[in-house]
Amino acid sequence: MAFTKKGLAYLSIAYCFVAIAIVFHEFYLASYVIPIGLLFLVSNSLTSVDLSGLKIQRKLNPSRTFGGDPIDVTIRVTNDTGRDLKDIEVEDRVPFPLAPEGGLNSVPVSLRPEESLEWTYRISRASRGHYIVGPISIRYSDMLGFYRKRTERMQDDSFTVLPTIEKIGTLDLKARRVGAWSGQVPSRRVGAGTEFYELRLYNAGDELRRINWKASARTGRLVTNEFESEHVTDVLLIVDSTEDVTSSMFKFDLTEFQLTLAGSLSSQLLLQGNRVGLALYGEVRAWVDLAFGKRQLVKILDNLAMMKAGPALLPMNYAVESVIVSLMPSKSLIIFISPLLSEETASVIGSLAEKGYIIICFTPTLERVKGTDPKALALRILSAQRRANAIRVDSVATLIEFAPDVSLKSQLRRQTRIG
Amino acid sequence: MDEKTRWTLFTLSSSALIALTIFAIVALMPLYIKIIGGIVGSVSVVAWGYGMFKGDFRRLRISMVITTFLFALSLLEQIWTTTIVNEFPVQLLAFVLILFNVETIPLATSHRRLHFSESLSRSEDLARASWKIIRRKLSSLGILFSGCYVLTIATIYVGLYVYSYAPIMGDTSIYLIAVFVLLALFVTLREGSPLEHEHHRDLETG
Repeated sequence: MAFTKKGLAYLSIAYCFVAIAIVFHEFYLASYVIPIGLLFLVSNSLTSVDLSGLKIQRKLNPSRTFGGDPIDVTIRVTNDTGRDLKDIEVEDRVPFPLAPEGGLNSVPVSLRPEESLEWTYRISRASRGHYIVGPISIRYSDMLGFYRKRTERMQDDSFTVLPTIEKIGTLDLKARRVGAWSGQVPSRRVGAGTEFYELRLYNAGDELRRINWKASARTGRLVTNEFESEHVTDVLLIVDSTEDVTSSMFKFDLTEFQLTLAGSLSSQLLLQGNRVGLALYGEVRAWVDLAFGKRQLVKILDNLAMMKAGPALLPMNYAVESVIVSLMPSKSLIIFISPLLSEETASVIGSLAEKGYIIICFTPTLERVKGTDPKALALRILSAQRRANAIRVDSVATLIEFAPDVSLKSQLRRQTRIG
Repeated sequence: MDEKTRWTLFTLSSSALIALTIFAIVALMPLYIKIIGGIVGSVSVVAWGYGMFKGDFRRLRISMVITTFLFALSLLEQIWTTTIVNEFPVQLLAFVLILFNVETIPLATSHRRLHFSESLSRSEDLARASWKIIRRKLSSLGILFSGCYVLTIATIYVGLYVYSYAPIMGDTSIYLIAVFVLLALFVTLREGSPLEHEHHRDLETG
């Protein structure tokens, strides 16, 4: 609580009148202080603020959005104090660098007992990330604004702008280890499926439609087709965004590209019934346990929304490899999304491959750098190092290079089978 | 009545009041500065009207500075010509009106955006609530400032009446002491203000 500029100005004027009255021996001038004094007195004694019964509710609609969709924030203020509330200003803090683009986030409010006021403002053009709206600050002063006070209600709400995802169509995965539930991954075992696996002699009770009539005619005995059973598998997506130099090496936003790819792959893999997990490695580290379903997709996208490229605090082999080995059974499928700029990434991939994991590595294509100036030369050296890492990865894993300007669906279609 | 018409009426009434204030000040000036005062005052009224209509704090402040300058000029002239006693009621009225006009500035600047900015929903509710605040505030300020004026005049006349019976009360220093005591009282009261005892609980969200 402090005097406002206005309060100080009024006090100064009052003392000026007193000073002039003394200088000119004119007591009438001193009487000009009386109205000012009365204003202070009345303003001070008539102001009573008790905000304990003031209820403020905030609703965000929606609380999750894909980039570009606006968020509507609705504030409802209810006066349950049992007395009039006059001239308070309620301001909802909008997360930096966003700004309200429709409506107001700061509104002067005067409410009678039990009265409510509701208004909505809109936040749009939020880029990917997790945003916290709030706290709500309440500014109030005495009746004439000679003193001012501000309190904050610390309850925050948050919304997440998810990375955009693309429809990439059915993924034709191969895996050495499959789960018990039926899915779309060939299991190398005989069972219910669509892919031909082998022939065997007819047994009593076999379905007639499974008899291979050509083979039966050739051998002179009834022969039945066997199919390869298809199951779900466990897939772990690892997004590597540890390098800061990526921004200058790639002509596009590498982080967003990696996120779109990770989000699209998770969405499709979960849609195909697989168990999917996520490991983020960068300035922000995150781990999402393997699970099925739509909720898992939301969880994965929420974590992807928080991703930040940058140097990591822990070495990758500790943060990723040790966790994976303890949580993922051998022969599981691991999808790396990495620019392969770090030798550490290549060695982690090599180490995981040695332990029996099936590894697919998605890496963005890099344009050839021309020129001989120092910057171009540095980029060429980095590019050569990256190429060396890629060759190393290619020897132990499936390496898939992706271009950012071509749709994921068409690029994945070219890969007939991955894994 | 639509929002624009209401706001125009609010602007016109406020401009009329500032015109009255300037008239009260200029009327007390001697003829040789009356004309200049009138011209400067007109500029102030125009700036005030425009500032009120647009909710422009800068123009309203400029207008207030001009009006205060005219008031100070008039007061100095009265001190110089020792006519302050004769003109006191009108001069005090001008002073109280200036203080009243100052109070309408935050009303105009903070509430105008509620009537003219684009709001997503319930903008009618906000506008209605805003007019209610403006009406309440103006009426309470009107009562307060009228009270201030009447009480000051009453104090002066009571002082003169007492003086006729006890000439010692005519000593300026007594009034000055009284004024200092009054100001000290206000500051002391502020320390014990109910604002200090405000308490609140955490936000309840739905």
